[in-house]
Amino acid sequence: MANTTEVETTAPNNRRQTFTVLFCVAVLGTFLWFWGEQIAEVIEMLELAYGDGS
Amino acid sequence: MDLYPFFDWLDTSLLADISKAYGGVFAVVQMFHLLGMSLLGGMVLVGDLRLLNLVMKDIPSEVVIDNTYKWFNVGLATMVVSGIFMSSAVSLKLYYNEMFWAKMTALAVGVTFVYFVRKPLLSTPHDALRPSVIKLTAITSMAIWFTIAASGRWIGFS
Repeated sequence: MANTTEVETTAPNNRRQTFTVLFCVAVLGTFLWFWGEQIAEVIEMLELAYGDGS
Repeated sequence: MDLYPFFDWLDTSLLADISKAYGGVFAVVQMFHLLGMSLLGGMVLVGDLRLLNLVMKDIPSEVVIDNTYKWFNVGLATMVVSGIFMSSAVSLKLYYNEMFWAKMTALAVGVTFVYFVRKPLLSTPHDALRPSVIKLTAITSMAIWFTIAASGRWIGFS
């Protein structure tokens, strides 16, 4: 009986945790791409303004 | 869905008339926007740093998280209301600003994350959750609100 209750309470928990991990990975991946693009653009502008140092 | 008609309406609304004509009113509303931002940012940091086990280790994380939600809501509501007023002054400029849309998208993700992912997850006893999931949730939360704040500041320079 105790084991059944444990299964019933942890199953939704596991689903929720899996969903959270997927959501977090998707958001962090998108942010990495977004900020990478922004930083690349800034570096490109700095190179245009000051040259690449060579 | 094109939101241009809304921004066009906002540009000629009573809000826009007030925000454009009275610099003092705009400044006071902006002060509330910053106050809401500091309140919201403070609650996010306190909650997430507790989840990462970096602050207030002697207080159960459930207690810390429960206490931050109320003031998080106050901060968010203050920011949204003051933000609509402030955007009315430059609504058409904002419509064509890429960073404004980045901020709004991040804000939508942030609100979805708080009310439909973080809150339901953390409403269960934290002992029943995997520590790695709790830490990932905290890091993602801080990343989302950092992006909203940073892209918001970037609007003024883009």
